[in-house]
Amino acid sequence: MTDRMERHYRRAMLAYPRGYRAANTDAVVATLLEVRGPVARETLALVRGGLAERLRERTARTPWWAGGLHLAALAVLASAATWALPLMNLRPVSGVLLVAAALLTALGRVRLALPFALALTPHPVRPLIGPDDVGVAWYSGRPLAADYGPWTLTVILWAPAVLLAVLSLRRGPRLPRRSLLWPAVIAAMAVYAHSLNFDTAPDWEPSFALLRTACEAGALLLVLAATALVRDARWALAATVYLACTVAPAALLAANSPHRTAAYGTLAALTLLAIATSRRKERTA
Amino acid sequence: MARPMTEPTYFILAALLDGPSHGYGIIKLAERESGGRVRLAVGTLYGALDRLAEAGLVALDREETVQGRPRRYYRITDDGQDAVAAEAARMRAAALAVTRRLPPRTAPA
Repeated sequence: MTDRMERHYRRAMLAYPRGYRAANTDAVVATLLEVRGPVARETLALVRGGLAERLRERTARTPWWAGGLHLAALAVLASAATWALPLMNLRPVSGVLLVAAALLTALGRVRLALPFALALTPHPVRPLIGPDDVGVAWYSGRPLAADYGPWTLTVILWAPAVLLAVLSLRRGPRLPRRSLLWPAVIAAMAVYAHSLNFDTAPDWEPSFALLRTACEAGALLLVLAATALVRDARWALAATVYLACTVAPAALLAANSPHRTAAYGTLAALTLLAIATSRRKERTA
Repeated sequence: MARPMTEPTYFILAALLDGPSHGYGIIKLAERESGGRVRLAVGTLYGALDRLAEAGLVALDREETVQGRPRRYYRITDDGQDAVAAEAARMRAAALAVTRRLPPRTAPA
């Protein structure tokens, strides 16, 4: 029985980072076997503590505002790719620019990423609209549909460049490397965009909008969970910046269906909740 | 003004005032002294001890081997004593704000 319990708790300790496990597993497991508390409760506390410890290790490397803006830049680039599918179809080089900007940003090389993001931006005082441009309403008349306003995509494509410019001003060690899944997903979207025909609104586009909103809501729930665990403001900052750069332009500069307005309201509420959670002092116990 | 201490933190520090103690001892003492309100899971306790050690309120005292298993003892630091004493004083002042205004209860005949 004791051996089985010990094996169970040692498995639960896998939630902790490797270094922490090496230093503390024996002592923690010995205490668990001595206390003999409810197994489910003790296991949950170990998993929760392990995840919190992993998050603390990651957040220790950079100030909260730099980490938050770095994450926001990647998220905004990914969102720009989803909004710019027609653009990537019409102008394949824009897909290459997005992937390059995302790859360099994920590697922490924001100053190198900035020129690629700037090359992507449309004219700052002329919205993307016209026969060769992409200010066309290809979402229309369906739940979660929206008509592009002429400025929506313009604002969304400028946002990554602005964020990278702010990050480029920062002095100090290079930003840590982030997951290469970000540029990989954008590359997949750029490749997929080539196969599409944007002469007519595609049948799948309401599902695509729904999928994007679901991903955004799922990401915000993860933001809430991470913020609640370690009370660090970086994820709430990233969510707020993302909301301001992508969701807000779509909500304010386009004509939206009631369903889409409700979706945006949900995203805004989750972001506000993350901000409120980040402002509460971390509980020591 | 310092933020109030959480109840678990308060009773973890209180449990160490009598001298260095190990995880099991801290958990049991905290539960007893809090009247059963503070029941710490082991993972939560060690996370709290890590944060308190970072804040300089507790420190690792020693590690022993009992029945082939390691047992760590933690002690409260001078800063930890000051912090928990300040919290106790704060709570006493807060309690006085109410108790001095309540009329004394007379026992039923």
